[in-house]
Order: sequence, then structure tokens, then C-alpha cells
Amino acid sequence: MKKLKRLSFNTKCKLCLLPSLAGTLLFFVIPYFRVLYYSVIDNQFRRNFVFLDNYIETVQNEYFLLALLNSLILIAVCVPVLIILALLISLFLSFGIRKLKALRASFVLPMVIPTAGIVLIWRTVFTDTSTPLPIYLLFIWKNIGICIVLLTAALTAADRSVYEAAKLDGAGSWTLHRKITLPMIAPTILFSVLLSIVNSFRIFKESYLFYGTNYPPDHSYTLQYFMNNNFLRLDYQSLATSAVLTSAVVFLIVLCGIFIQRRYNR
Amino acid sequence: MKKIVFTVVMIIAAVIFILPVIATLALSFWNGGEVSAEGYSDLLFNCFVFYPMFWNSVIYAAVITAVQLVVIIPCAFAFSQAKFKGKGLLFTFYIVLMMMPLQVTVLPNYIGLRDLGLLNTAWGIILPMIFSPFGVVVMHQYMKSTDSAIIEATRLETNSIFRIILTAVVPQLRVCIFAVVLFVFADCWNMVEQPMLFLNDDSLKTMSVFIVNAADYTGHVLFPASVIFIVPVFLLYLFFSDSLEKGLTFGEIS
Amino acid sequence: MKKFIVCLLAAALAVTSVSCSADKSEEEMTFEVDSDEFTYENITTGVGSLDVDENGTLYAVETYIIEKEPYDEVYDELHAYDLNGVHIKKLETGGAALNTVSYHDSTLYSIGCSNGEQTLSIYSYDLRTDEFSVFAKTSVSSSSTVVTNSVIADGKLWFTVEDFGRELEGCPYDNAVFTYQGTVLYSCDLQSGKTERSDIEYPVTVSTAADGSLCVYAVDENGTYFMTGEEKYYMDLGYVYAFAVISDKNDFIFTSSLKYDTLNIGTFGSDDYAEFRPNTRCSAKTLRYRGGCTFYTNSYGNGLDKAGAVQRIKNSSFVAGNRTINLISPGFIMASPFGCGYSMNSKELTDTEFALTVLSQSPDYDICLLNSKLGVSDSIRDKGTFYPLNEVEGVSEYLDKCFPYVKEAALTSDGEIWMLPIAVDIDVIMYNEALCEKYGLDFNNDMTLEELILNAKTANESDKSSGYAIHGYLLNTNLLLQYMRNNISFDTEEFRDLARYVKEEANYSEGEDYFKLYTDSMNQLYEGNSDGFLFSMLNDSLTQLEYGFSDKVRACPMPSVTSDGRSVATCVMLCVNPASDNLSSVLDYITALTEYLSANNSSMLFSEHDENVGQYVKDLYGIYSDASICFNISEDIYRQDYEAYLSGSTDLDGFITEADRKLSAYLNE
Repeated sequence: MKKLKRLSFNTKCKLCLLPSLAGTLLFFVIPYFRVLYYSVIDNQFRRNFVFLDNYIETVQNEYFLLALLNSLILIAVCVPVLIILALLISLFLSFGIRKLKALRASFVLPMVIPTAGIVLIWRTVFTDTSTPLPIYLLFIWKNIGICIVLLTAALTAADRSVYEAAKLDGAGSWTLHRKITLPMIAPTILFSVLLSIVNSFRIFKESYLFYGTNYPPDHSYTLQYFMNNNFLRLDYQSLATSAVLTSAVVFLIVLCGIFIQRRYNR
Repeated sequence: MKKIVFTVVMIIAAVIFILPVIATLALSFWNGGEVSAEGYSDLLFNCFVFYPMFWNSVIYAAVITAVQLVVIIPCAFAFSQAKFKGKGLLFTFYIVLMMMPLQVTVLPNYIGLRDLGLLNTAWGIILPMIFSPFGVVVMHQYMKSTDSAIIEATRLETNSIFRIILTAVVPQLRVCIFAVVLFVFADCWNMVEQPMLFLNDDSLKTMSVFIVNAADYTGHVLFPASVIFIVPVFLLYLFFSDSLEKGLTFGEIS
Repeated sequence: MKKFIVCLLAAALAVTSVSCSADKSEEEMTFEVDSDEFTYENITTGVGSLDVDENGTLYAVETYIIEKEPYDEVYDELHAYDLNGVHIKKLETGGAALNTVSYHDSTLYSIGCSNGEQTLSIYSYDLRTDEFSVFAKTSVSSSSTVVTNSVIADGKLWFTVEDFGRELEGCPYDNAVFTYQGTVLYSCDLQSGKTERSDIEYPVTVSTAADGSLCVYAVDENGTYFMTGEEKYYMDLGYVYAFAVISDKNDFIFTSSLKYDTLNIGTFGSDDYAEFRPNTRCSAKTLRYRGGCTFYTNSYGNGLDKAGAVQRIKNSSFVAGNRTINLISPGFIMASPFGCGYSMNSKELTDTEFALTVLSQSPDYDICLLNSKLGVSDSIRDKGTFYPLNEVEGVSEYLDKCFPYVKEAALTSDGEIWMLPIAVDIDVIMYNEALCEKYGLDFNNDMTLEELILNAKTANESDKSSGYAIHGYLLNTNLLLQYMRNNISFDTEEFRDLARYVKEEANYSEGEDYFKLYTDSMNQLYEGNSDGFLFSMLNDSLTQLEYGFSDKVRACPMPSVTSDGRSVATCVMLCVNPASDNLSSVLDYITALTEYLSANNSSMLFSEHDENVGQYVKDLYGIYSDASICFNISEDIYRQDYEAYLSGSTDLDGFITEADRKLSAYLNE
């Protein structure tokens, strides 16, 4: 017993990581390395190493590039719109009339509604499939809830005193928000951006049900379609390589985010 | 004046957003051209598979959420308090894992579960979700905003990590925990691919699978089922919404 | 070192001696026969009942019919044959009418009745003294009953009769495949000669278990069951007509209403059973197991109750070790391969489940049952998720027997045999030559699409006294498949012309009269009214062969719309899972299957076939000999847009752009 007590606080903290690490290792890390392994062999059964051949093939595949492009466009267009919209609504809810706070519920509900029924409604409303707009709108609609919850909570917790003081100094509404509120909740905003990017990868099911086919119009052909179609054609190698490439891209984005934040803090 | 304009705009926005939900509600009472509750009666009285599936959803989500809290709170605490090399890298790795799309992880997860003998069991669904990186990342963000002073104070009193966490951290982050509970519960409640692919027995499947296959059941059960589907999570949200108002803050990302 | 060698030798000796003795004990039980299958050629008339003794002598009750006026004279004779089919002698039974024969302890017991008697008698024939006498008289009526089986077990002669009166009373269990026929079970004690009725209320049929005790198949309110001794096994095997227990592991051979005219093997307590002999019809009185062989009569093809050959098969030739084969298929496939002694366990999976199962190298399934219509078939070939069958015995010879295009489809570009084709199907048009001439319809092998449409129109304008059917959807699918066979784009003049023509003349979505679905042409043929049949487009040309009207109709191929004049064929095939945990059994099964399929002279897969066939079959041979197997692309690519084009919601360019876009994605992903 005495020995245990001598463990430093630091070590004990590290031990706390153990359950999560073990579980993550078993259920997430090992599968990821399996995917990595599958991406460098030619075939599930023959298991010949081909190293980077699969990667070269995938990178040259025009449909992979199309899918990657569409996915990135989705992120580049929808995420900013989503965050700005969520910010505006959160600001209105936090600084507006008290009673309006109840309205927040109506933004959160879309988060939990099951897709199957919603897509039916969406299809009757949006009949024009020449642009990916319906999918973008669906994405924004579904994900605004979580961003609003995060942002309003952060706004509520922000220290009002600074705000009040600045207002007394005669600052206008816009300057107020721009110079004080936004910086205060900047970490939350960044996190919301991250979360939205993650959720943008989950939009596949909705899109699939909306278009009703494995081959949607070119503008909506995202990475998941590429992966899913290859999966059904038993071509796991394309799937694995595109997954690894995507995770590399995501890794870079996250690194950028951290970098921006670090620089911002100085 | 401004306030009135803002209010009106807000209300319009809220209405637009809730329109599809209302449409779902309305359609659940609409059967073959007229208003009737037949959909509900079909669902509640004729679809016997509905009840076990509903309870499965509840049980899985509840168990996953509860156990996940026990796992991620110490983990997030460790990330914020412990000092070791590569902490940032490890955490970034968590974020990357969080991002993996489902089509990719399905096959390795399937093989992994098969090797562990967990296919077609409830644990095959519950265990992977307990260790989902999503919870760790979110919790970690909240953890940064804890008041170090209180933690230092508690450290002087006791050496047990559990006591420190329970007495110092949890009360401060009570609200954050509620938020995490909400997100995780909603996440599990909505999961569809895992039950469909890793479970064979209908008695183990969840309600989200039921809705996807709603066309296979007699009667118009899609919309009534959707409405019932929303209810538990919405109740959870209402339950926590007051607390959520009171305060959630975020620290930095890394 | 020396000690070690001595020990090793001792161990080896011990092992071999044990296995030798094991073999020996088996040999005592098995008859020594040369061939796996044997027909008793010397039996030339109908056999009503048979039994076998411990030496392999077959005793058969043969029924002779002398045609006379006003009634035919029918009499029974009892004969004995040895294992080589040589007739030993006729056993004198004084002209008694004999329903059954059962052997026990050098005595034959037979149930029957003499002329004029109202009740059944049990006769005994002592084989040592050749004495035939009445053993016992029963009180079972001979007029309202039919004796269906008799066996000797537990020192008693058990026999079942179908009582017409009881049949009307019904029983507590009834379903689609089982109807109680009023059977009653009696036993006659071989010591006392006393006959009494068994207290099993609703028996169906009987046999002896391995230990000589009685085994009954009966029914109660919980369902049908087998009972040996005290054990009851509830199994739903339909109406089991005959069964014989073949080992002490509770295996048995049976024939039932679940699959007529097939001999199957089942096991007590298991719902799985394996078909091992098709086209075999025997009765309870003529199915016996003895000495490792199964003896039975086969009256298949001769009509009910007609004479059939007496045959014998050696059980070891078809009873395999691990008997279950698991098949998976990514969609509905009707033709499942024949069991050949193995129990076929098929499962239909969705696309995602199928991909998951194959890619995860699941050891649980053994064979993929595929159809070239399903888009994933060529993916299996291309991705190498198959076990090459080049080294498997029988496969190369089987493929060499097949038509060249079939063999070609079974080979990858590296020369590996990736699948075993088990069936080929081609759309044909079946027509009544004489009638068509009368109405002015011209069907020939070089018919163009325009001519086909003209024929349909002419038929439509006729008095319609003869049925015809042209299936617009089928026709269109066939045309599209022909086109897509060699083309990678829809944007060609060829296709545009075809599409425009189809939209105008063969537009099934518009519901033009002569493209409506079936009028009742095929039924006319089934009912024997070939005058009522004009023509029909068939996508199951081979099942029609069963109906035997091949001298009245002819067949011609679908019109060709591309420069490649061959017909479009779909192929049902088997792919072996390299990760299966049962691989050696599976490969044995494949060998057995190739043997079984090769024996079928009238199969459309093989280039050599019977010359002695009707004109329809000859036409079919011609069509099937020159075709190409198409691995279809997924219907998702074109079907929806094509329908939209035909119904007018999109124009031709719109359809072509959409379809080409999807096709390009499909081919290049």
C-alpha cells in the first residue's frame, strides 16, 4: 500500500488514460491500422504487397478526385455558412429577449430527427437536382442545432461585465461583438468548425436516400459514394487508400486549426 | 425597434427550421388522404417488433452514455493535468480517429468483432461506442475551463485521483457533463449502420433500423415511428436545457 | 535414441492395428459389391415389395399382369435374387395375393389375402424347408384398407394399412405438405401369432432402427415426428412416404412430399437433409437398407403404379463426412445446385451484407451462388476472391464438355477457373409453326426486331383465338443487354436508332395493346391445347422442357440488334470461398456435382447431346450453342432513366447523358 501512495500525481493521471486508451486501441486504432494494411496489399486473399501502387492508382482516378473535390467544396461552402448562421442565431438568442430562448428547441430538434422521413419531405420540396443545394441545406438544417447549443452556452458563460463596460464606453453593437464577444468565444467557434467538418463526412446517408441511386449527379458525388461503390464492387483497396488519404487531409486541416489558434493566442 | 426586427427575424428562422419537424408530425396523422391515427395504432398494436427495438435503443444509448462518462472523464482529466511528451500528438490522433467515415471502418470493425466473438451480440454494439473518440474530444474541451485552484486545493487534501475528480472537477463541470450526455445519447440513438450490419437477430436491433426498414411493415408506420423516435431525446434535451443555459465554457483546442 | 525408435514403432503399430480392427468390423456389416450402383436387370415386372437378408439375397414380390377380357388377370410371385442380380429361384406361394414381404431369421413373412377372403392374412415362408403356410389371420379388413408397409422389429411383424374410413376423420395436424392418409399400425407377435393394433394414434410409416427396434414416423398435435424407442424427434419433413435408417448415428434415407421423386438423407433431430438421388420414385414397401447398401425400386417416368427397375446403391458412395454446405447469394437465385449427398444451406444477403461477408474472408460460408445478371459477379472474378478450381478433380473435364463460350466465361485472363457454371439461360421465342404460317407470322432464326414487332401486330389484329404473349419489359431488357455487351457508351448512332424505334414501336410503358402482359398462351400448351398457342417470349426456356410438348412447337432466338449476332445468355455459377473452414468437403462436393451434371445428356451446357430429340429441343440446341455470357452491369445505371425516357419525361439526349455519366462512373471508379 505504501508503494502506491508514492506514485506521483502525474503518473496517476496518466493511469487514468488507460481505460480510454485500451478501448480506443482495440476498437479504433487497430481497425485503422488494418485499413492501412489493406491499402498496401493487392487483394484480401492473395495478400501480395504492392506498397504504393494502390495509392498511385487512386490518386489518378478521376472519380476519386471528383469525390474529394466535392467533399472539400461541401466543407468550404457549408461549414462557414453554418457557423455564421449559428453565430447570428446564438447572438440573437443570447442578447435578445429572454423569452426567445425557448426558440432554441426548434433548432435543436432537427439534430435528432431520423433521416428516412425527412428525406421524403425534402424530395417533395426540392425537386430540382441540378445543384447540390438541397443537400447543403439539409446539412445545415441538421447540424445547426449542435452548433447553437455550444455557442449559446459559451455566450451565456461569457463574462458580461466586460461587455457592459464597453457598452458604457459607447461602442456600437457591431464593434462590441466583433472585438469582445467573438474573441471570448473563439475556442468554441473553432471547436464548432471542427465538429461540423466531422459531421460533413456523415451526410452520406441523407444524400443517398435523396438521390435514390449509387450514382448521383456529378456535383453531389462525394467521397462516401466513391467508397461505398467500391465497397459493393468488392474493391476494398480503393476504399482503404481513399480513407487513408482523407485522414491525411483531415490531419492537415486539424494541424492548421491548432496552428491558427496558437498564433492567435499570442 | 431593432429588437422587434430581430425578434421577428428570429421567429421566422425558427419556424423555417421547425417546419420539417411539424411536417413529420402532421404526416404521422395522415393516412391515405385523411386525418387518422391509424398509423399510430398500426405501429403500437400491430408491429410487435417495435417494442423490443425501442427498448434496445434506450438500453444501448443509456448504457453507452453511462459507461462512456466513467471512461472519458478521467481520460480528459488526464489530458488536461498530466504532463507528458506527445500529449498533443495523441490528442490529434483522437481527432483524426473521430473523423473516419463509416464505410471505411465497417470492414475492420466487422473483422475485429468477429475475431472477438462479439458479432450478433449487444456488446458488439455497446463496447465500440463506449470508446468512441468523440466523447473524449468534447470532454477535453470542457475540461480546460476548470478552475485549477480548486484542483490544487483538493490535491492537498487527498491523494486519490477518484476523489479529486469527483469532488473538484465534476461539480464544476456538471453542466458540461449534461451537454456531453446529450450529444452522446443523441449520437447513439441515431446510429443505424452498426445495428444493421453487426446484428442479425431482429430482437437485438434498434429503432433506428426499424425506421429505415419501415416500408417493410404493414401500414404507414414511418412517420409515427419518426415522431416517437424524437420524443426521448427531446425530453432529455428539455431536462437539461435549463442547466445548459447556466454556463458552458470552452478552453483551447490543444 | 534406440528407445525412442522402438516407442515410435510400437505406437505406430498400435494405431494401425486399432484402425484395422475398426475397418474389419465395418466389413462384416457391408455387402461386398463391385459397383456403387446396380440395377437388377433380371427383374422385368413390377415389384410391390422387397426385403434383403443378411447375405444380400433380395426377396421380391413380383406382380404379373395377363391381359384378359373382361378383367386382366393379376397374380403375385415371390422370387429371390443374389447380390449379382442372378435369379436364384421362385418361391412357391400358391398364387396368394401378397402385399408385402419381410425377412426375419430364415423366414419370410408376407401379408396378403387369398381370393374371397374378407380379412388380411399373414403368410410365412420357411426358407429352410421351402414351406409356405398361413401364419396368422388378422381381423383387419381387406376391402377398406391398403397395406402400405411391413417391417420386423422387437420380435413382432409390424404393418401399416391405410384405412379409408380413418382418412376421413382427419388428424390434429395438417399443413401444406402434410395430410394424414388414415394410416393404422398393427403388430403381429411372431411367437403367438396374435395381432393387435398399436396405440400410436396417427402413424404414417415405419422402419427398423439400427438396433432392430421399431422406428415410427407419426404425427400429433405438435407436428410430425420420428420415434425410436422412447425418443421423439419432431421434424417437419412433410409426408414421408418411405424411410430407412441407415446407420447407428440416426441417419436415415427418406422420400417425402417435400420434394417428390427424390431420395434424401436426414438425421434424427436435425432439420437439415441432403438430396442425393433425383428422379427416383419408390414406396415404403420397396425401400430397404441392409449391409451398407440401399435397395429400392424406381418407377419414375413410368407413371404412377407402373413397373420400375429394382436398384441398389452403395451408401459409402454418397454419404459424405461433413455434410453441410453453406451458400450465400447477393440476391434471389432460383436454381440451387443439387445436393449430391450434401445438405445445401442457402442464404440470401443484401448487397452490403454480401460485400461484408466476402471481404471479411468469413469462414462461415463455403460457396457463393451467383448469377451473371447480378452486378457483383464479375467483381468476384476481377478481385480474385475465389478459390481457383483448376486442380479440382472433374472440373476441367466438365468445362471441356461445355460449349466454348461457357468455358471461356469460366476462365480469368490468367487461365484460372474461377467459377463452375451450373446452368445457362437464354431468352427465346417459342412458336407454333403451323399456326403461325396460317396467320401469316414469320418466325425464323434471322428475324429482325422490325419483323418481330410486325408479327406481334399481326397477331394482335387476328381473331385472337390463339394465345400469344410478348413481354415488353423482357424484350427491352434483352435488347439493352445485347447493346451493352460490347459498348461502353450509349452515345452511338446504333443505340439512338434502337431507342427511337423502341419508343415508337415497343414502348411497354405506354401500354400499347400488343405489348400488354400475358394472355393465356402458355396455359393452352399445358392443357394440351397446342392449337390455342401461337407464340410466346420465354425467359425460362429450359423449364418448358419438362412439359414434353417439344414435337408441337419450335424455338427461335430473340432478334439481334447489334453486329454481334449471338444470343445473350445468363449463367448461374458457383464460386468457392478460399477462406472456408470446410474446404476439402466443398471440393469433394464440386467433384461430385460435376459428375452429376455431366451425366445429364440433355443439358444445354454441353456441346455433345442427344440426337434423338424433338424439333423444339433441336432448335434450342442451336440457339444455346452460339451465345455469349454477359456479366450485366447494375440496373441502377440505366433502368430509371430508361423508364423516364420511354414514358416521355426525358428526351433521348437527356437519357443518354445521364446513363453515360453513370456508366462512366461505374466503369472508372
